[in-house]
Amino acid sequence: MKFLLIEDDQKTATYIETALREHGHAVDLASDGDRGLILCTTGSYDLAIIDRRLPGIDGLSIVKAVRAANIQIPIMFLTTVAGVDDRVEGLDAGGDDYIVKPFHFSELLARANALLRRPPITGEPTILRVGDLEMDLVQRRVTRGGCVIDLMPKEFDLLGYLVRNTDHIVTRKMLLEHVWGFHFNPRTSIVETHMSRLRAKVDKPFDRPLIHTVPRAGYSLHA
Amino acid sequence: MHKVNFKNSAIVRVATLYSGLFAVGLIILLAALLWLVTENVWIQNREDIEQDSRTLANVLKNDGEATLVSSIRILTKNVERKRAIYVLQSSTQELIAGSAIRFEPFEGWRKLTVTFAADNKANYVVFGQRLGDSYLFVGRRTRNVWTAQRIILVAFLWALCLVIPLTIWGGIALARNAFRRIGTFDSVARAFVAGDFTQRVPITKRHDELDHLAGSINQVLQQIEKLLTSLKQVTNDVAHDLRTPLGHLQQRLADARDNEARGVSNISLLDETQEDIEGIIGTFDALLQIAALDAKTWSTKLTEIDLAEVGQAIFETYENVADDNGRKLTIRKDGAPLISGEIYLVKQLLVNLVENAIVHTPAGSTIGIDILTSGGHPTLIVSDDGPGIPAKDREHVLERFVRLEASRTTPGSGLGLTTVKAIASLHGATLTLSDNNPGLMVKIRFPVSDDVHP
Repeated sequence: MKFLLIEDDQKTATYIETALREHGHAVDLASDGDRGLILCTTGSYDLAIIDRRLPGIDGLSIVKAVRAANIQIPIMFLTTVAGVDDRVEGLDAGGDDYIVKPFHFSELLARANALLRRPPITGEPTILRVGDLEMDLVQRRVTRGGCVIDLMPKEFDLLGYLVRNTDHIVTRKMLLEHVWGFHFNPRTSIVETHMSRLRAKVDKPFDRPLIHTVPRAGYSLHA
Repeated sequence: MHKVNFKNSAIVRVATLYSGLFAVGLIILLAALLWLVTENVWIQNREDIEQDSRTLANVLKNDGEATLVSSIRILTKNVERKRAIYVLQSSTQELIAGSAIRFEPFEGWRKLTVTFAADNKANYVVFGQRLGDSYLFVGRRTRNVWTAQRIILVAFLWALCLVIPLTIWGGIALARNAFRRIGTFDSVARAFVAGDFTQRVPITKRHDELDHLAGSINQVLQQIEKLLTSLKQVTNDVAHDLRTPLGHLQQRLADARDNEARGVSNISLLDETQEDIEGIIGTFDALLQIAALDAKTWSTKLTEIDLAEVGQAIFETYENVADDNGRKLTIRKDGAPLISGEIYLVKQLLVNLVENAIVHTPAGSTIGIDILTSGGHPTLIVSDDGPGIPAKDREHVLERFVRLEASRTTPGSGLGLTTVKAIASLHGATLTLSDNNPGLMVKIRFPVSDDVHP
């Protein structure tokens, strides 16, 4: 995959660039807004990671300009501008995700992957399958190997998010945001609690586990 | 910035202009009055003359010349100071009756100067008519016109002499007063700039536009003070309360260096350090959020929020969490009270309260979420049957970083309740802590929202 990174802080830029290359991605770096906007509108990239505070044109304006030019590249903000209002502003401007610094690279990578495989808004299937697990999104029914699994509403949402991101890592933060709509860090281990209940229902009665813990990163569901 | 003095004051300028305009107005009024009075006296004179002329003509017609002559004599005798003249003279200009004046015969109106003696002249308006062979002249002295004019002029001069100083004095008094009041604005602004943020413009009981302005300015000052205080608070909090964890971090790095020298693995140390940093970032985020909430006015759009729905969602999320921690979480909903606010924040408020209760109660405690409408107010209550908070400490715990001795060992930044308070006051809600006998009861009372219900 080819990434565009618009970031003026040299340390952060090098850190991300190196890590992305290690994961086999190509990276173009722009260290100011003007150059970033030119690259973003003329080059062909799979994903753009954009800082909000930049010399020259700011990140928010870049995203607005790119969207105004009808360029459908997935865009991720990576910024220190951290308020809920700022996040809303970023997403309204046309960003697809919003990561607040400081961040873990694993978080950035997981979210980037989630964006790269985001299905087109229309054709999402109503039945999802992973191995012998089947989720009917309309009837909100889950079966594994033909056996019906009875899930609580939040457990269903949690499993749904994992299944949509099959084979990829989802972080605790991603789960908090997408499953619970929490944009803050709770003091208790709500993700772990719900995950362990979900596993007790989805994995425990069966031979092979589907949900895997990825140390220091999050969770991953794969057959 | 230079001080405005009396000389170049806008108010003095306005007052002076006003006095001038007033004087000009007065003069125009005088001119109009003079013209009106003069005109009126003229008309009156003419009417009098016409009436006399008509009456005398009738006397001649009805009663004969002898009666006319005696009438004129009587009239002439009764007239004071030659105010009026009546002259009946023959066609040869010989006086038949009346004042001893000879006129060149004429008919109609004339304005004439009559010479009684060398040094005795007077102006008259005279109407002459021919009666048979003789002429009758009836006149009125024009001095009464001038007299009226003089009276008005004198009265007016007196008025001008009194009024002009009065307007000037009034203008100055007005200017001084306004100057003084504007001066209070000025001094408050200067004091504020100099750093005394408690200064406010005094408001009088007059409820005039200056009071209105003072009110608006005070609101601005209030908001600025609030923002500055909040900023100062954050700075202080960061300075004081991030020092300790940063110190720990430094210590760990020193340990790591020692370990490295002794060939001991640093993995666990690094993990702990990572946790420390996350804790610091958490505290930092919470501080910034509280500051932002304190300073916030609704910039984002408000949405209608069903408290019962939020309560249910949080209950479903935390029922198991409480269970895993050995506590029991219950929910009781009465209706679906609607509030307007920001859903993220309302969720966070309830999460903070529930997590606080989970963290600060012993295992085996029961925590209840109650959603109800009390006296029209949508109300949210989170209660527990744990140790509670002593009455004297209740107000205190809402402050930043306050952690009671009893909870020193439990995790948390000490900012949970402060955040709750900030979110509550942003939504116009009141937060009260009370005794649950036993335990703590936190009550969030939202304002009655008329516009929420259809």
